[in-house]
Amino acid sequence: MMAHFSRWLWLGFLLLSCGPGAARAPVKPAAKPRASAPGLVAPRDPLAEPPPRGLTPDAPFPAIVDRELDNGLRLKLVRHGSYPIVELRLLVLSGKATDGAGVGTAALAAQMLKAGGAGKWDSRQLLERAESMGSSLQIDTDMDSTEISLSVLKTDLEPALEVLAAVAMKPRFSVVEFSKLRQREIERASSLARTSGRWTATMVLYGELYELPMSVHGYAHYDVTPKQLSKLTLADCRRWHAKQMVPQNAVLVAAGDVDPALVERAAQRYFGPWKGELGEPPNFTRPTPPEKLSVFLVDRPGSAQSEIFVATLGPERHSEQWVPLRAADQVLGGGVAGRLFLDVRERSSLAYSTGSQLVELAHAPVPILLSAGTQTPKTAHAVKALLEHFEKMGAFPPGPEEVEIAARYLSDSFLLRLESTGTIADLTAHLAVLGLSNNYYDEYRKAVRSVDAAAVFEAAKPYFRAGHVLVVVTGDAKSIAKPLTFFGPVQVIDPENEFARMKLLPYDPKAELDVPAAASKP
Amino acid sequence: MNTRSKLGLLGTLMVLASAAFGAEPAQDTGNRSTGPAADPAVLALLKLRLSIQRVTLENGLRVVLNVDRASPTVAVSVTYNIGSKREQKGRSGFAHLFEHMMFQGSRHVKKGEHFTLITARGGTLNGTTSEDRTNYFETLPMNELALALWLESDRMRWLDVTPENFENQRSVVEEEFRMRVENAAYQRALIRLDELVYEGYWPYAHPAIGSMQDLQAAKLPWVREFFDTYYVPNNAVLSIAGDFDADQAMVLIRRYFGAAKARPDLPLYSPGPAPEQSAERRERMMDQYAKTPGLLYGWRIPDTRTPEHYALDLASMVLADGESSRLYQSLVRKLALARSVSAWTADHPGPDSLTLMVLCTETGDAVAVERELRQELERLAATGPRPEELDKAKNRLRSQFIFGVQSNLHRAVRLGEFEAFYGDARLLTLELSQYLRVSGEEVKKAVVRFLTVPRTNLVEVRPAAQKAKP
Repeated sequence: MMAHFSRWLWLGFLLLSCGPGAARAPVKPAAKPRASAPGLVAPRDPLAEPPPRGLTPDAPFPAIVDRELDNGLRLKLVRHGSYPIVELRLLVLSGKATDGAGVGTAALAAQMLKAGGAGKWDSRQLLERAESMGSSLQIDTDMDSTEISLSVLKTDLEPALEVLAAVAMKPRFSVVEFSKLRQREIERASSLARTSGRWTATMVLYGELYELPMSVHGYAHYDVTPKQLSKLTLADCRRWHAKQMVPQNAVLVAAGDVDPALVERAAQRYFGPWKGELGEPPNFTRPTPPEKLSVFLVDRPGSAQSEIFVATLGPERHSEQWVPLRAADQVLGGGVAGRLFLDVRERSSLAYSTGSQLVELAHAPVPILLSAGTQTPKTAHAVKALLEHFEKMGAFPPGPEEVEIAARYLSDSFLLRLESTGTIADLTAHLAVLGLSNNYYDEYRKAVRSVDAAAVFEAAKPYFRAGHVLVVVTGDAKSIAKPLTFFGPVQVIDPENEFARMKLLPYDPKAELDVPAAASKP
Repeated sequence: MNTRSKLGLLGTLMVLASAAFGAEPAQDTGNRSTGPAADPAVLALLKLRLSIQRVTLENGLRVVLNVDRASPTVAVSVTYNIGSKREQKGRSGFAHLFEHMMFQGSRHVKKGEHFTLITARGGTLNGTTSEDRTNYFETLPMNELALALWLESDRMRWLDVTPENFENQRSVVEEEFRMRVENAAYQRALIRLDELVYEGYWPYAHPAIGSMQDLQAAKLPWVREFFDTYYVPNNAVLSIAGDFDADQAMVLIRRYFGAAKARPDLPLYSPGPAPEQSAERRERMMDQYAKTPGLLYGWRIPDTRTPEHYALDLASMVLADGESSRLYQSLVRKLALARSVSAWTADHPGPDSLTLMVLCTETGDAVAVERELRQELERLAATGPRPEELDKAKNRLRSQFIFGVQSNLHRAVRLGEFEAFYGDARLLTLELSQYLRVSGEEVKKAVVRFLTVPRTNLVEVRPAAQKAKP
C-alpha cells in the first residue's frame, strides 16, 4: 500500500516519530477547557486557551455483508468511499504458526504462489498481469494468516479476481523458480541478521516467549534463518498449499465501490471450483510467562545504537481484559502522549524512537512489548528506564487523566482509520483472522470509552510483574554486555551464526551501567 | 525494495504557466479503452480541483481549503518554505533540529501539551523536514479543527525556547542521526551519492539530517534567529482537507492567524545554477552494516515539472518499478545478481536527480551488475519503452493518484507543498495528465540525453569486515 501513497506524500527523511508516554511528566486534563472563575471581570483572551472540545461524530464502521460459496469460501463485502476503486484481500487463515517442523514453510510456500507462476501465466506474465492493472500482487504471511492482495480500479475487478483465484488454486510450483526463490530468501534472512537489530531481537523474543519444554509452539518462530530455509523443499511448499490453502480456510474481502451481488457472482465464477481439505491445526499449547528476569544480548559488533525490547506475555486476544489492557498499553507507550515518549524520549533523551505494543495474535497469550533504540553508551540506562516503566504499570494505578486521554484517543482516533478503503479492507480482514464479530469495532469504541483507572490497573497487574520479564537487546556485545549484567545473567547470541548461544555472563548487581571506557573504543 | 521508494511531483515555477490553467486534456496512451475524459483517475483529480479554494490573508499567509466530506475527519498542515537547502555551511541539519523545537511549547502551550491535547481529542500529529520545506500537521475528528488551528497559530506566533529544551532535543536528534545514518546499512552511501550528484551545489549536496559535527556545534541563539527569519505567515501555507465548513474555517483562521506579523524583508533564495557535470564520478565505500555489495547510481536531471522530468520519471518506472520491471526481471529474477532494485526521482522544486539503487546478492558480481545495467540503459536509449511497458507505468500512476486522494492528510500535505513551491495548489491535480501525455519517443530522448555515462555518479558499497566477536 505504501506505493499508492508515495507519490502523494513523501514523509521526509526526518520524520518526528510518534512514540509513547510519560510517567514523570505531569499530564494535564488537557481535554477540558479552562473555566474562568465566576465574578472576575478580566476579559478572557480567546487565544490563551485551547478551543473547547467539540462533539465527536458517531461514525460506525461500514456495514459488512457476509456471503459463503458452496465450497466454504467466505466473502466479506464492504461498500466504502466515493472513488471507483476496489481493495481485494484473499485471506488464508494459516500463517507461520502452521510451519510445523519445517520452519519457514508457510512464508516460502506463499511466495512461491507468485514466484512460480499460476494458471495460464508463467511467473513474469503473472506479475505483468497484476502490475498492468496498476496494482502490485502482494503476498504476506504473518503468524496467523497469509494474505494475497490487489488494489485495483473498479473496472478491473474481474481480472483481479481471476489473478487471485489462479494464484490460490493453480500455482505452478516451478522447480527452477523455487530454487531461485529459496536462494533469495536465504539472502534476505542473511542480510537481516546483520542489518536489522529490530529483526534479530524479535527473532530471539518470540523464541523465548513461546518456548515449550516438550514441543514447538506455533508462535515460536518470528521468521526463518538461512539454515532453516536451506532445508526446505518444493515438496514442503506443495504440501503446505494442499493442506492449508483450501476454501473452507479462506476469506475473500472486497471493499470499495462494490456491488455485493456482482462480487458474489464473480467470486463464484473464479473460486467456485476450488476444493481441498484442511490439515491438522498447529500446536498452541499454552506457554508459560517469564518466571524470572532474563537478559539476551544479540551481538551486532560495532553497532552505534542498541535496539532494546522488554517483553512478557499478556492474555489471549479474546480475553475480557483486552480493552482495559489496551488502554494500559496506550498509557504506557501507545503514542506521543504516552509515558515512554514523554519520559524516555522527551525528558531523558534516551531514545528517538520508543513505544509499547500489545501484539494481536489469534490463538495464544499475546506478547506485551516495550521498545527503545538508544546509543550504545546509554544502553543499560535505557533498559533501566524501560524496566521501571514496566514495573510501575503493575504496581500503581495510572492517573485518571492519563486514562481519559488514552481512552479518548483509542476511541476517537478510530475515525481516522475510516478514510481509506485499503484500511477498511485491512480492518475487515483483521476481524476474520481474529474471529471477531462484524460489529466488533463499534463495540470496542464504546467499551474503551467506559474504562477507568481502576479497571486499567486491574487489567495490568497480572502481567506487568517485576522480575517476570524478558530483556532482549541487539547491540555491540563488546561494549554493553558487562553493564547489562546489572539486571541479570546475560546470554550472548550470534545472529549471523543461526542465533547460536555464545557465552553466558553471570549476574552482577554491582555492575556499572555506563559502558567501560575501554570497551567503547572502536 | 523493488518498488519505488519515492515518487515525485514537484517542479519549478518555470513550467507553471504552461501546466496550469487551460491545459489540454491528457493524450491517453494507456491501454484503457476509455478516453481521457472518462479516465476515472483523471476525473477524480478534476473533482478534487473543483473543491480547492485559495485565500491569502493580509499578513501574507496563504490558505488552501479542500472540503471533502467522505469521512468525518479533518487534516491541517502548515508548510514553511524553509528546508535544509537554505542552511549555511557549518549549520547543516539545523532546519530539522528546529523542527523538533516546534514541539517544545509556546506561549499558551506547555511542553508536552501539544501531544496530550491532540491525543486526548483522538488526533495524530507529526512534523517533517526535507531539503525544500518543513511541515507540521495534525489529523483529527472533524469537530476538532479549531484545536489544530489554535496550536499551529500559537507556535507560529510565540514559540517558547529554553536552553533545557534545546539541549534535550539536540540529544534526541543525535539519536535520530544514529538510527537513520550511523546504524543503518547503505545510508552513508546514499548521502555520499547526493554529494557527488550535486557537487558544487550546496543546497542539495548536503543531507537534511546534517552532520553530527554540525549538530553538536549548534547554538541556542540560532533558534530565535531562525524562527524570526523564516517562521512568519508570509513564508507559510496553511492547508486544510476533509470534512469542514469553509466559511467557518476562515473565521477561525482569521481569529488565530490574522494577527501574526509578517516579515517584509523575507530573505530571497537564489542559489544560482547547479554546475554541469562533464565526466563520470565513481567512488567505493566500505560499510560495516552491509551484508552484500550495493551499487548506487545518480544523475542530475532537469527540473521537476518539465516535460523531460516526466519522461525520466516514467523511464525510472520502466526500469525498476515493480517486480515485472526490466531491471527486477533481469538482475533479480533471471540472473540472480541482485536481491533488490529501486529507482526514484528526488522531486526537488529545483535541479533534480534520479537515483537507481541495486543491492547485490552475496555472490552477485558488481561488475556483472554494472554491465547488465548499462546494457539495459542502452537498450532503453536505443528503442525506448515498449508500448505495453509505458501503458503499465501510466496505469500504475493512475492507481497511485486515485488511491492517494482518499487521505485527507495526504491531500493537505501535497496541496500545501504545491502552493508553497509553485504558487498554486491546484497544479497538483494536473500532474497525472502531464504524465499521461508523455510518449515513448520522449522517454527515449530523455534517456539518451540525461542518463549518459559522463553524467553518471556511482557509489559502490562493499561490506566491511566485521569486528571481532567478544
